[in-house]
Amino acid sequence: MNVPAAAPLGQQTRLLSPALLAQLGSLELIARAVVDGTLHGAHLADRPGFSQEFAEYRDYVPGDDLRFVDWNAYARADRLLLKRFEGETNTRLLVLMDQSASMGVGDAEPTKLRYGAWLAAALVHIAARQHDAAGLLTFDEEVRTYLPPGPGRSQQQALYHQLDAMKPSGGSDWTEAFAYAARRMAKRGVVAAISDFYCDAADFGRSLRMLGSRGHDVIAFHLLDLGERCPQFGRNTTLRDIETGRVVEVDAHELRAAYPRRLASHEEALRRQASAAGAHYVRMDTDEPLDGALVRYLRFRGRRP
Amino acid sequence: MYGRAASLGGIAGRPQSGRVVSFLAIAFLAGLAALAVPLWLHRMNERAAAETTISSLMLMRETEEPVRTRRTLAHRVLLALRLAFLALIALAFAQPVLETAAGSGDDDRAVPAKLIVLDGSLSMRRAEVWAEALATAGSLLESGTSRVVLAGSRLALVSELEAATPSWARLDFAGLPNRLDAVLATLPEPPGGWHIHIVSDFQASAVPDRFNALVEGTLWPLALHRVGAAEDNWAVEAAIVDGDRVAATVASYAARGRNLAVALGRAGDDAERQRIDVSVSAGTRRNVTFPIPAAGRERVAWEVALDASDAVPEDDVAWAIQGAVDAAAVVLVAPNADAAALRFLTAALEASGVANPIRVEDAAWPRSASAAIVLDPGQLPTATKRRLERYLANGGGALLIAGERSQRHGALPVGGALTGSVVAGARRVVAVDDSHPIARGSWEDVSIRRTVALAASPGDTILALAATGAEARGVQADAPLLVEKRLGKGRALILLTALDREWGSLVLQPAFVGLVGNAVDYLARNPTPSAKAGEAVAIPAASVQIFDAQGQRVLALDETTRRPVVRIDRPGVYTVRTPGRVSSMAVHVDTRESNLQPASADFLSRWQALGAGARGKAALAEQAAVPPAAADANAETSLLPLAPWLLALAAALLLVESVAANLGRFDFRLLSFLGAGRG
Repeated sequence: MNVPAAAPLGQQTRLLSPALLAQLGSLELIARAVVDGTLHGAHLADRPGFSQEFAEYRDYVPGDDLRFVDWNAYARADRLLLKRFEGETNTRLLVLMDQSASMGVGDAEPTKLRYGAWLAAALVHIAARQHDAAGLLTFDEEVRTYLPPGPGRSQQQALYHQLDAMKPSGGSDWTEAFAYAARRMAKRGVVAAISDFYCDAADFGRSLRMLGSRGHDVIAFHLLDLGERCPQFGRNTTLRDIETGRVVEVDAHELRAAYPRRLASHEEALRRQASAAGAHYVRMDTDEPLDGALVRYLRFRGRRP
Repeated sequence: MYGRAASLGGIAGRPQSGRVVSFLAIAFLAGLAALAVPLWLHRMNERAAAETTISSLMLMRETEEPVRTRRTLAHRVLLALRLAFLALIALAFAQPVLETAAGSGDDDRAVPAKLIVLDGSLSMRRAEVWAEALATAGSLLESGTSRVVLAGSRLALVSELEAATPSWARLDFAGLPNRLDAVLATLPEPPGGWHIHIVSDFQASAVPDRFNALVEGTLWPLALHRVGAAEDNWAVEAAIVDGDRVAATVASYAARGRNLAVALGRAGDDAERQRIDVSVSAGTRRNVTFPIPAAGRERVAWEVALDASDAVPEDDVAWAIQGAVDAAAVVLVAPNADAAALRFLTAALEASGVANPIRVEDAAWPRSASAAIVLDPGQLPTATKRRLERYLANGGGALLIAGERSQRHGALPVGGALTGSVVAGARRVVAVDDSHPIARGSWEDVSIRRTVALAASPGDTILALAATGAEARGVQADAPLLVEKRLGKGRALILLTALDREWGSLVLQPAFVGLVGNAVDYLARNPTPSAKAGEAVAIPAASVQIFDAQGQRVLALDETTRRPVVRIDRPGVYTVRTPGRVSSMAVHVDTRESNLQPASADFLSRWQALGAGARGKAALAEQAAVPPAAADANAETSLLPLAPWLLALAAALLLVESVAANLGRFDFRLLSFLGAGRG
């Protein structure tokens, strides 16, 4: 999926690398560029609905509701044609954004927090294009910001602004954040949770079920950077947990074999918990383009009526 | 571990280079100070242990304690390896030796044969010392394989130890290795090689000033056995006739002062002796003068005797010959010589006192000329050249000294062609035949930078070489420096370097005066008025008879006709009869034997350590030695040099350190047992 960073915007935008996105600066511009590229490649199918806006004709087949037969057309063309109208798929999107200190770790750009902000902005942009209401909840050890889902350009700008202003700090309390969201989202909607999910898988599952049980469609974006997937430590390295301050000394020998197994085990546990809660689990690497995640989201979104 | 390092802070260093490295040496201390470097680096490394901040330790929590333990262990091991490496290097530079009991060698290896060198010099004539030496040598003897060499002015194999008797001569250890080589060349080499045992009192005056003089020749395993002890001694160091008096020097080699009676009388006549009491302080010399009547042409041998009753009575008497031969008339031919060379030569002739130079400009030579010296002539006038040839053909002797002009001309007036100059850097002078009277004297400080090469002819004798060094002797870098040629009935000595400071330091050294004096004596066939016991003396004529004071012939006529030099071992006054002439010659003991102070233990340790690296590994294990400083001088031990082992161990440590320090770069699990059970 990697392409030269100098690929022109527009046709190639779904292939934009994180490095190039990092140079764009404006979160709105990034969201738009990513989404435009994504939609071109995703072949989003139009679904007919029941709005007042005419969409197309199609031939009548037995069993169709006769109320939608265009009799005027039948008089002119002596054919039974069925009138179809644009569908209304309006829903709510709430992005749960983890801004704990662990999201800001790493020398390489973008950080998980930055990459998550782009992802959230792209989701907001897509939602806005489809007239969905979008909202944002940022949290670390407690809920920092909550912008309830809402339509409109001003809401979109407010979300971009809030995403841009996030600073990594503190630990993370998923239970509190999900409970907060569950209390505030009375109607069913889509909840996109973006985090590195360094938490107990069982707690993670309980949090997802808290929203899933209320009818929300939940998609969990698990962000990992390259350093977390393939740690390159010296033989004897002292590691400090940025959130707890705890220090351990590790051996690269031991890590080289055990760490991938532990990471895979953790990821599998998260996936099982998400599946059990009826949620989607999407792992994203911060050195990969955003489009894969967005395609998944749109397909997931497309299943919604 | 043995050595002065253990007791006094010094230990034998690299003897081949003559350099001493001790535990107090700067390099060794610097090596120890270098231990601080890894300590400091490890300390800094511990402080600066980099912390890496990561998102979560959730997936790493299980590795903490074992890794800390392993890391600490690895850290300590690396530090220990590095410290040990530096310490071993520093220790190796100190050249330590391990003192072990002798006889612990592997029986499977060939046992070297013992060559027992028994010091037969004057100082060993002390009865109790000689008895101790015989006992020591007897304890070393092994039937069938051991050989005994009696070392005095000459080395001689002794068939029966009891038959060995010390001489009156001096033993100089400086040339001993080469002389031993000459003796060993006459013996079949045993399978295990030789193990040299030297039994001696090891006088300080017998060891060379420069340690390198002991490194020459074949290096065999060596053991030194010191016998005897320092004793007070007094000696008549010199006695000469100075006009109407005899001047003598009384020397003290004692640690205390003493009043001594000095007597003068005619040799062999105890009556009418003059006596003078002198007080000699410890370690000093006193001059004593006795008036004597004029002797005219009569030869009188005066005896100066010291009533000391000391350890070495042989050095308590000296003789002075009154009415010695006049200085030889030496023709000096130097038509083109530069002023500086002529000045050097004239000064040497005057200083030697053996010659009365007569400079000639043409072929009109005085009839009384005893010898001729031709100084860098270039091309001689034809008449002068013919006169020189005629002089030599009739039995005369000439010293020819080459130089720039001779080199340019490409030939000497007699003796042959010069093939050009050899420039090979500074070389020292090595006497090829040290029994030749010309070779007497010390050449150690002479450095020769340039010589001319002489087209040699059969019968030429090389007396001295300009050599690059002991290890290079015999290679082309060695150049003849002094050559003797037989020309008709006469003989010519050819010095192949110029009397010029650019050609070498010969003219600046006292050896030059000795060389010129000896050459004139040799060429003029002067009877030598005085000689040292055991020293080579030039035969003053083609046929000579020498009688001792009792009228016994010590050198028969047929012996003198076969050899150009003789050696007289026993001190005394001898009568030398040559055709038409009778002269006297006093033979004295060498007063360097009078100083009974032993050489330093450090020197002897270094000398003995030479043998530790000698060829013959079997000999190394078997090597027995005596630490000269030890109280028990006869305890037989061997010194095993540890430096090679230390260096090998340091190399091994370096390898281990490299592997251990870089273990983390590879996916080895060599240390996995330390952290087993985690996953």
